[in-house]
This record gives sequence, C-alpha cells and structure tokens, in this order.
Amino acid sequence: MAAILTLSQLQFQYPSLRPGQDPVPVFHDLSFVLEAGEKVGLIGSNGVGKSTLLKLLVGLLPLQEGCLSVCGLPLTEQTFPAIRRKTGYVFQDSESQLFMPTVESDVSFALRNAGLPAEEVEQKTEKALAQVGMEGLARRQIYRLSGGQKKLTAIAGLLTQEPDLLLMDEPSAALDPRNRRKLVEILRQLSCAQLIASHDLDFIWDTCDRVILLADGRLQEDSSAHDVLSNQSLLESCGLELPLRLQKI
Amino acid sequence: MKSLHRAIETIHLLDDLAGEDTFFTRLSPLAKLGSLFVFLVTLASLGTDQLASAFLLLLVLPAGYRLGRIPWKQPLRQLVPVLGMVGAIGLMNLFWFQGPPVPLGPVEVPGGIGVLLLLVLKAIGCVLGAYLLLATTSLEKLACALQKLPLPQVLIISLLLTWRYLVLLLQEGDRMASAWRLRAPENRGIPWKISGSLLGLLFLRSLERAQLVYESMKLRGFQGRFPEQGTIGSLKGNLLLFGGTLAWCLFCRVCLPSFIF
Repeated sequence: MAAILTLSQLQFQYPSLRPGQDPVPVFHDLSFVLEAGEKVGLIGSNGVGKSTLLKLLVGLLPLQEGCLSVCGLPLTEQTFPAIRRKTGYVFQDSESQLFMPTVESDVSFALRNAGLPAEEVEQKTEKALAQVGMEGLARRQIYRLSGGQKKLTAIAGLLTQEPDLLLMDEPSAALDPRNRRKLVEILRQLSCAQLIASHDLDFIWDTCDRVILLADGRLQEDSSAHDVLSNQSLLESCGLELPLRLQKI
Repeated sequence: MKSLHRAIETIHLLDDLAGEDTFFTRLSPLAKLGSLFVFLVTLASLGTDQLASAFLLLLVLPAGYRLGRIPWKQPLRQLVPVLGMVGAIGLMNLFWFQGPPVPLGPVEVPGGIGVLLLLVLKAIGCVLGAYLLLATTSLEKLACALQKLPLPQVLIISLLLTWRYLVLLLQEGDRMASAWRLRAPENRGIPWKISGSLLGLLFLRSLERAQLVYESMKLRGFQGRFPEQGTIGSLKGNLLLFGGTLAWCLFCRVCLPSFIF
C-alpha cells in the first residue's frame, strides 16, 4: 500500500522581518514516511517546529526545499484542494477553527461545500456528532460551548470528511480528564492515519504506536512509542521529560 | 470595556435570534432581503411633505418584531447613538433651513422641524429594519441569498467575513482590556499615552486570528462561495411577506392622501 505521507529532506525557515537579519531556520533534512492507518506522535520541546510541520503538510506554509507527498499526491498549489479533502487538521486553538454560528452548521460546513445532498449531510453530521458525544448540542451556538466542547466540535467537523490522514496540533489541550479519555477512545477507533503533535506525552503514549522526536531542527529519533517515551536520557537531551505515568514522584 | 462586552453580546444575541424557529426565520432570505430593500427605498424616497407617510410606513416594524418574537431592548439601544448623530445634524436645520412649513397631518410645522423629524424617522426605519433582518436571518444564509443575485462575489464574501472578523476584533479587544484591568488595577481605563500601541497590537492579534479562521475555512474546502444553508420556507409565506411589504410601501408612498389625518 502507498504511504500516506512521505517527507524527503524537508527544510524550512521563517524569513527575516528586517533586511540584514538572518532567516530563522526551523528544520532541515527532515525525512520520514507514514503508512496508511499508522498512528504517529510528533514530540519535541517548544519552538522545535511541530506546528510548522503540520501546517506545511496542508499547504498553509510554502514548501521551500525537499519533497513532500500527502495521500499519494505531491504537495503543489494545484493539489491543495485534493489533499485538503483527504486530510483533517485540528488547530491548537479550536476557537479559531470554528467559524459558523451553530455546532450543526460548523460540523456540516465541509460537506455542504462539497455539494453533497442535504440528507447525506444531515446523516454524516449526526454520525460525527454522535462519535464525539455531542449529539444533543447540534443546535447550540458555538460561543456557548466550553473549551473542551469546542475542541470536540472541531474534531467532529473533520470526522465528517472521513479523512485518510488526520493531523492534530495539541488535541488534548483544554480537555478535562473525561473528554480527554473520550478523545483517546475516538482516536483509537479511527482507522485513518494520524500524526499528532503534542506536549502531553501520556496522551501520545495512549494513542500512538510510533513516535517521531524532533530537536535542534532535526529528526532525533523515530521509533516505537514505548521505546522513545521510556528513554529518559533521550527525552531529557531534547528538552523533554518522561511521561507522568513513568515518573517517580 | 463594558461597551466591548455589550457589543459582543449584541452580535451573539443576533446569532441566537436568527437560530430560533419562528415564522420569520423560516422564510427565504431573498424574500426578507427584497422586503427590506423595498422598505428602505420607499423610506428614503419620502420628502418633508410626506411626514405622515413616513410615520405610517414605520408601523410595519412593530408587526415584524412581534412575528419574529424579537425583544425591543437591544435594537432600541442601538438606536441611541444613531439618533444622537442624526439629531445633531437635524437640529442644525432648525437654524439653517430656509424652506416653507411642511404638513404633518392637519397641522403645519416649521420646515426645519419637518426635516429633523424626517431624518429621525428615516434613521429609526433604517436601524430597526436592518436589525429585524439580521435578527431573523444568519449572515451565512444572507450570503447564500446574495450569491443568487448579480453581485460581485468579492463584495458578498467581504461582507460576511467582516461580520465574522468583527467578533474576533471585539473578543481580542475585550481580552486585552481585561488583561489591562487585572494588571493595572490602580488605573481607571487605558491611558491615552499607550492606547495607540495597544490599538496596533489589537489589530495585529485580530489579524492573526482572522488568518487562522480563514485557513480553517480553506482547509474545509472553502473556495470563495458559501454553500447552501437549509430550506427556504414556504412559497406562500415568502410571497405574503414580500407582497405585503410592497403593498404597504406603495400605499404609504403613493396612495395615502394627507387629508385622512
């Protein structure tokens, strides 16, 4: 089966804002492959480029150097719409991800844009809301939702698209323990490939089979979640710590 | 800072009202838009010698608010600054207007007062009419309706996104004001000296959030046209609304003789 995501010698730097100033390098020579159905965690200290990488994968940032193929398509301006139809992206700040007035209208936005018939839109919207446990809140105004409910609404909006690849930036942030557990269950049940950027190493432990560790702009480790997350010296050398469940407090 | 809260609440209230299930919200956005257009054009076309017609024309608004189950408090609050501005302009006419007295039913009033009254009535009609439309039709449904008209798509999207981004601007402003209040409790309000830099920061932060919202829309397939939003109501209801508004406007504009007052 073709890989869902292929990165080869990816390099990215933020341009300098003033003349004479050097650009800000983010990562260089980044290469890895994500197979269909794989659940991979992307970890690293603050500012290492996790969010930047996720934005690159959906074309929100321009590809500067290297090769990038998403869902079998090379990432170009012409393929953006096709790639975005097959991928789902959960923002770090779900407040900014929701732009329609009600839960139902926001969750069904992508389906309506795709021109699906009203019945199918309603069916898929109900199914997605049921998956995240928000079925009773379809007509609720977005501004009345709590932070966790907004996050779940954003995820429901992506589930309607039935993506091949789900990209999530800090998905467990702002979730209470119950909703966090619910999200873990939802992600475990999904069969699509997932790339989850998170500081919550316990969440990564619960949801991912494999972990990619970024540090100093490079890929430091790409191995099973258990091997990476239980390697204290490796994590500490990259500015991280062991997951809470493994720490002796 | 309270005014920021109030402004955000007003927008949320409009969204709430537009999401309710009433006779008006079920009607086609095009029918409502058309009715408002006819109403505003008729109101704008009235001169100082048609004050009675202007009074009568505005009577359709209470009926609309009743049918739409819209509370009066908020829209009347929106009227206050508008009436203040219009009243100030109109008051100048008391001194500068040179025209003849104008009829107001059986009596005649000085021309300046007639102009002031007409301006006030037109302001009331515009604000309450627009509020009625926004309180019974979400911006997204309006955008879909406007897309069916021969209007530039850029204009429609700009209108819709301006409304959505306005909320972001107000929310960011509220956040910054709250942070200021908590970190500078000894200050009453934000000093003028730093308001400029705070305003610049506000625009930058709002722009960032607006950028995120737009990115989210693009990622979910948005390509410049808003998708259809729900049903368009019964044909009878739509015709009743538009036809009724048109008939009333024609009656007030053309047929109403001044001698019945």
